[in-house]
Amino acid sequence: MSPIGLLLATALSVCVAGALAGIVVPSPRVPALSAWAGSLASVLLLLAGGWILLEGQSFRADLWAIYGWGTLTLSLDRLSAFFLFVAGLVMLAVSIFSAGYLKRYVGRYSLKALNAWYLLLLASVALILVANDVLLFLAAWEAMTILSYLLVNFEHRREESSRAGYLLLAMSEAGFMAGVLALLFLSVHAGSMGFSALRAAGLDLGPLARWTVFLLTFFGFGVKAGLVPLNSWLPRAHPVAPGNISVALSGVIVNLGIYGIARVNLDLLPIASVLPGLIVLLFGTLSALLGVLYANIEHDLKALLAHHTVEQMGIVFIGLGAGIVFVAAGFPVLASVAFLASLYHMANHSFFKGLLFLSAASVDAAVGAKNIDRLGGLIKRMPWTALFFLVGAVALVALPPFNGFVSEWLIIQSLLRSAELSFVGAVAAKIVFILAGAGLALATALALSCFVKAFAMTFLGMGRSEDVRGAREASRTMVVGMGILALLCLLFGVLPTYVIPLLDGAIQPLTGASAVGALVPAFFASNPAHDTVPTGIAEGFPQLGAQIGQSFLPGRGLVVLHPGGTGNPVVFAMSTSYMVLVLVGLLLLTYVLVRVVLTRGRKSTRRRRWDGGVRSLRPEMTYTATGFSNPVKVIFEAVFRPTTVQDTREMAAEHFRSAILRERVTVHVVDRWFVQPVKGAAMRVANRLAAMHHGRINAYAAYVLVAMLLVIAVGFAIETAGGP
Amino acid sequence: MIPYIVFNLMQVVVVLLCAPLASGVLSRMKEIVQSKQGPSIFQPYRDLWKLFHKDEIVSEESSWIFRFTPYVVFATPIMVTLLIPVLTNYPLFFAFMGDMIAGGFILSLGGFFSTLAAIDTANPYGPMGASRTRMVGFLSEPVFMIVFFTVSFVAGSTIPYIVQEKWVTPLVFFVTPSHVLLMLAFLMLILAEGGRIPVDNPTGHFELAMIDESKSLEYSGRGFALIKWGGHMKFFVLMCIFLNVLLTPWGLAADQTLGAVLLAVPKVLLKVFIFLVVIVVIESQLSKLRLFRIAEFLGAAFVTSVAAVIAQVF
Repeated sequence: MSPIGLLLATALSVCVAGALAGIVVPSPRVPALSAWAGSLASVLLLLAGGWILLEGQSFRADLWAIYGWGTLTLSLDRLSAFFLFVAGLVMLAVSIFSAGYLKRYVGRYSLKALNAWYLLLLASVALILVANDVLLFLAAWEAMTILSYLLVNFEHRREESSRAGYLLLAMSEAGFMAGVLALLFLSVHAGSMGFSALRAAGLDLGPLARWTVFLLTFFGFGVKAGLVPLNSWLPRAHPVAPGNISVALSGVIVNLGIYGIARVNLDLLPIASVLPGLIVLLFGTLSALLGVLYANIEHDLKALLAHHTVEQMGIVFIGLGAGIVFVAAGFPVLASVAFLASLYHMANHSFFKGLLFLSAASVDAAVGAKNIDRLGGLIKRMPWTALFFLVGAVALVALPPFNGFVSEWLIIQSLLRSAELSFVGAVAAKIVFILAGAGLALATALALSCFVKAFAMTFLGMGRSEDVRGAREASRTMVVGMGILALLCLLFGVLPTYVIPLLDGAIQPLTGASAVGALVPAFFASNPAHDTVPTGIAEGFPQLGAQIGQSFLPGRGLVVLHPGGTGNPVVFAMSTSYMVLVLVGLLLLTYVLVRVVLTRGRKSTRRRRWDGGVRSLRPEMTYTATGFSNPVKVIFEAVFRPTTVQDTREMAAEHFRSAILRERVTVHVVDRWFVQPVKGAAMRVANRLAAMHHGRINAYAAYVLVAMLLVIAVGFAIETAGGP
Repeated sequence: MIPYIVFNLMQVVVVLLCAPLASGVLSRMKEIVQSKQGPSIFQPYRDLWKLFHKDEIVSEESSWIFRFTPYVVFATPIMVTLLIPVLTNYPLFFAFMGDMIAGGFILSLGGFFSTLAAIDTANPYGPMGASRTRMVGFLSEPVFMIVFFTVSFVAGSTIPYIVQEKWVTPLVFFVTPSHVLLMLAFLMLILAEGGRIPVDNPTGHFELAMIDESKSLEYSGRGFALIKWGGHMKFFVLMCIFLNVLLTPWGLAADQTLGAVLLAVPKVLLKVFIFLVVIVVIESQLSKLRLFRIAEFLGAAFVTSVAAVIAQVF
């Protein structure tokens, strides 16, 4: 057995063994068991994925043949390996975090069940990523969906959990059906269930079939990634799950949606026309905008983060769509850049969203409240949690030098490269790119507003409720779990030139072109001829600082740079590695100059804040999150359309009103325009069909007879026509 | 390599020293237009000097965010100065560290922290200013992006040193519809981001009407000095991008000699002065908009920029 096979087999066995052991271990010990088993399995998966990414040699193994279905096969190519690597990293942090976090459930809910579902979910994620045939892939996918349902509905005594769980199950199964249809259609065409046979047989499919497969898989697997308009379940289901499970859902499971779409549409049946790419781009932009808009008016910390998942996945889709357009238009290198940016962002999202959800869980565990209007001032009581939340927020809103900035900057650059498109009708495509770019910019800026609100209202200022005053810092394992993800956010941000070559290995087989040369010129090449740096740049650049560190750092360089032609030798360039050095240097220099030289001996005293002249400023009188996000609410009122249910008036006397309570309800625009009409239509059909159920036995017997005759007739017709 | 480092540092020094002067000239000219005498053009320097020599008072509720923010607000415009052409028309030592988009993100790092610090004080007016600044921020971001698209379509690059020559070679390009519209859109952006009338009134003293100013109400002493200086520099850097990259890329040093670079300083200051006169005219002609009318102002900027990019695409 190859080492990779051994790693995978051990990881899966650890998961199963851990799940079984949880049944016999006493409840208070289950969190530790869960943490150990989860960490061990994650590390093994991480090693397997990392090995393939570095070595580049795909792993393949045939399991056993099932009569009539073909052989079950496993394969770990670099695309799956990258997803596995990211999943392993996130799950490692989550598992460590769980050790401290799960203690709050002891005696309230069954930890044995949670442990089993959690470890089996990890196993099913690994199986989805290594499956190399339709049967195993779909079976693992279904297992993953059901386990997510069980985990979301873990706190089953709360009604909102159950409702969200059912919604998740319904929408995921609908999407799953679409995926099943597409994959079975491809298998029937190929006459085999193996992915390699599907890949070979896909070449001679007509445009209609290709469109069908694209639409079915894009929207089918898109459900898992929270693609608008199939996102209504996500902001409801992710927040009600236990804190560590929310991370697994928002950091790992959503990626599987991207994986499903990428596996089918980029690998098995590569898209070769522009229009699907533009569709992906458009829906990505819509997801990004709607996700962030609803995040802005949301005041439940975890629901806010879940809305941001929709937004961030939209940004990933924007990169994917741009890549598909570039492939179809014959720019394989640019396509590689766009796909790379998109997957980079997906990985980054896993890290910073994982970090944010963990910090939110930590706040929830310490305070017992998630509504940010009731929080505040936690930075003094929970300094580590606050710092980690801040890191996650800065990364998510794409501020340098953290990881979100790098990937979002790359996605923006690949959108800007639409300048090179030159096919018939390219003008229309360019305008779609421009609008996507503007949408992305608006989404990013709104995300910044939203995280100013989320961080500041939770951690800064005065505590706005009694609960806050008793809060204590999270336990050590929880801090370590968050710390791992915070470190990843920083490393993936300041070392992009080491991440890009790794990712390129996963992208290259899809587009047939490498993006390394187009993104990371070999400034550190010891060869003076600079074999891969264009001469125009090689001559001018020694004057600049791009080669600092050449003598002692490995790799190609620290600058992300896209070389161009004669008029524009450099198309875009950026280096977070040097940026962070300069920023830290500047901050230190300013600090020393100001503190030591300029204002030495000046005192700094702490006094009460200026309260604008009122007698005493109480916490309830300060600005709330609701007030902070009001401009968004007012400006985008056309989207939100809030409705006033009723005004409750408090009367002190007959004509003296002392207070009015105004409740405004906002129904999500997707629910309003998509989900409710679909639900209404389904209910109408069901009501019609209900007329058949009138309770007369004779009629039911007749139905059975008619149905049987129909089946026989159809079977006979197929038989005579010489069908399958 | 050494001259490139020196010139790059000279850019920083010019921005550091001249940014308060630009603000002083602007307010003095505005006062003169209003038939008042106004403070000396060196008043901003005196203010900074005074603030650096005062003790600091910090709100009890505030955390390290509040004390850390002035340094970020001060450092981020300097970082952008390293990336853009202030004095030379050839790239300098740190030019590879970021393009115009990265520069925008670096500036918003400072903005992010200053909004956080405003809420950190638990002062009732801070969060109000923070919320309003963010409103202006998220409305202007799409316009920035469209400007970058236009620039990228024209120059095939987002590196400011490469972009600057493309708009005026040949000179006829200066009056192409897309360039004219783009300049208009970017001018509106500078007014919004710099907190000038009609979006915000930097000389207002009424807390309920403040946007940018109310974020720093709790600052005093050296913290306030750094925030003020950072604000002057941010405005100056935005003007440099507008004047040296998009509008009038003339007067910059072309030779790698100290003399040429020194000679560029008065030329750039002259351009800034002329631009300040334009701003004074605009500020004196218009009144401050009501808060939610700002959306219309920036909406107009957005439409202008979209027209610019469409004129470029076709």
